[in-house]
Amino acid sequence: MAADLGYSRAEIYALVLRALRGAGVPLGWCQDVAQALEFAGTDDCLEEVAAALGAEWAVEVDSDEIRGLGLAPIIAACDCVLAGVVSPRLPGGVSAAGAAIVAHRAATAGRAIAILPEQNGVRLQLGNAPLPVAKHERFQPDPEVLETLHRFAHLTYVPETEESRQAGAGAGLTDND
Amino acid sequence: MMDGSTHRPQHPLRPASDVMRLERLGAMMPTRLSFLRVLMRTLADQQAVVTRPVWEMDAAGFGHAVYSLTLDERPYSLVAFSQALSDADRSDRVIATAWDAAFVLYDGVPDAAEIARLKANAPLQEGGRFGPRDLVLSRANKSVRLFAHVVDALRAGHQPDAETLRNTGYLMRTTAVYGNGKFGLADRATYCDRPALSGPFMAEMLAVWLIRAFTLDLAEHLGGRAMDRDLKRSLGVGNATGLGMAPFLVSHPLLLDAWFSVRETALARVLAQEEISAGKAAELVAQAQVAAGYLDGWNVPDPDAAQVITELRGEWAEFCDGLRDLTGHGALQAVLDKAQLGSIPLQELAFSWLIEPFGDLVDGLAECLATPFSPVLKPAMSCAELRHLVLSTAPWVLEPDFDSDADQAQFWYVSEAKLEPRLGDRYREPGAERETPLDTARQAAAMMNHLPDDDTPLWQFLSTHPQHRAVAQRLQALPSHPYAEVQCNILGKEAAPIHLLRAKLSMFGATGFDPKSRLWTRVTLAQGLPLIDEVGAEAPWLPT
Repeated sequence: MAADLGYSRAEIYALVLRALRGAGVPLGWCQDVAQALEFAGTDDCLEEVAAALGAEWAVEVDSDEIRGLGLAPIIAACDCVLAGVVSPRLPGGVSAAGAAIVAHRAATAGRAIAILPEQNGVRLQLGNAPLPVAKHERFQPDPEVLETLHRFAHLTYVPETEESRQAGAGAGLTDND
Repeated sequence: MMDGSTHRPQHPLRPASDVMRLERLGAMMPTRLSFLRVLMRTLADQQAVVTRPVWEMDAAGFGHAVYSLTLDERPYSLVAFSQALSDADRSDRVIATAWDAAFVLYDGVPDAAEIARLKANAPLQEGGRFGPRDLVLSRANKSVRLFAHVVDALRAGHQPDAETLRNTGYLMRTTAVYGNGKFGLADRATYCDRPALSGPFMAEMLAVWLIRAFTLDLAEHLGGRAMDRDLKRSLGVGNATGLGMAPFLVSHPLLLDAWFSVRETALARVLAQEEISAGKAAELVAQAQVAAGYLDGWNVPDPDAAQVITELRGEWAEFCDGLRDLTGHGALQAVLDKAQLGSIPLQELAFSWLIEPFGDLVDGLAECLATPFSPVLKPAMSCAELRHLVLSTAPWVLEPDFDSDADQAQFWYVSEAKLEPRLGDRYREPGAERETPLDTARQAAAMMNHLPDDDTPLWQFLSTHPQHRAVAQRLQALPSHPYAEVQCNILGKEAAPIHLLRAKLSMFGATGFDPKSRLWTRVTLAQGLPLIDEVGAEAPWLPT
């Protein structure tokens, strides 16, 4: 049944945000990646995000070149280009998730960002192209990807104790008014 | 700018430092801009007609029903399922696994196959899976005593007792109303461009209003005869609300700003009238009596809450006694000033009362209650600018002492067992290392400890201090979205989540707040509103 109906964008957003938090990624980066999924085609981004869980995320800025680990460098490069001072260079290419992050940042900032290929890398540059538009298609994630996301999301949940069950939540245990 | 059409004169808005205090949020009352009232106006504007094409209910009241209506030339249906439930299984907690009734608001009119799909999933609630045509999922439990009273009375050939109905206020209470993609439901983004559903929680409010119709029909089905119309109108849908609602206000700062900007703009427009007509003055006096009647009928068992209501009753009577010529120059500002001398509950009641007669000035603002946006980082801002911004727009974040136990005594978390938000005692319970990051004040204070007071561009600072990214961008929104933050350290020992619940439920249009602890409350939704065959009739500010 689940496979037929697919997954809503909102539940994938919530799951990815939680999985990234569970992996120890700083909240602001988690939000950038999860929000970017609104601009992702379909499920290839999810696979990439799942693969980045548990790995180190870091940024290193060296003049106009931004390097690092995880999806952090593409986020920092978007910050840099939107600051309007430098057109940053990123070694390597831009993945599907990276492209979604660029699209999200461009759309929310109201400034088009071009991804220009260079030798052994790409450069981000402000442009005049039409702004990207969020997508509405539902996700059909691979079960293994889903399992990975849930496993990391689980790390944000607190195991129940009798005290928390009785006192930490809302309404009373039984109710027959 | 606010209603996108006409520039209207208005007073300066009240400062966020006053409006967004937790104690004030905890005293809010519904207004004509509350979502249920907005829905009633939409239904009236569209001359909506509700039908009940399916009523397959057995003699015990178990089975299913479908209610349909058309909005924006599109059909919508509430699909309702009723089942047997033992008293032992009837719980308001999210940890419950079975309910008296389950509901889905469906995009269209479901055929037999779709009803079968929903029948297999809706009673499971969180355990079911839903699709893009399923807009809202809900469930409800009977108010056993009142339901039995109504059915018994009808079976005996007479009407139920009006006072008994008023004391409870509902035949069933919902314990969750899910929307926006939960469990596979349709994403709000897929229908928010439809005018009737474009406002916040409009689909959810539509579901609740139709659920109320189902509860009344079910009681009449079992009772074997119709209830009097005015008795039916006096009943709404109960709601038991726990902590799950509170984090929403923190995690949607720009939506919070939209809601409060609309409310404050409404008040500012009303106050900008130097004089009002005798007709409007008479309406204000009449609405003051409505409020008095509502307060008279608002009785709750919690002693602290009852005391607040008792005091408000007295304050309101005194306030109304002092109302003089409301048509005089500056009279409305004068009565608001007078209310400001009273308690915060009096001030909030006066706020709602003052805007009630002025739909012509304020109803258009409802178009501005929704926003699809989230805070956006401004990476070119210098660190010194951000420091100044925090000090000038959010000094409250620096007031707590996060080295003290008291100022971070509580932590929010999500329980592994039921995936529900909970609140723990940081120094007595395990799990604080996994807390949900709702600690805006603490995050801001930590950022200020690291933020250099120089021209370093923010993006460079954040590349090496990514832990401050989230709070930096939300605080950057404050100059243009002053009502985006609840100005409170919600980790503090004294911070009561019940105030956040009251704020959000008041925006929905809930009445009869009946707090059961500092963590959860019961309320009533849609009480007094037009019935499904009364669309277009006057929707009262408060039920009496």
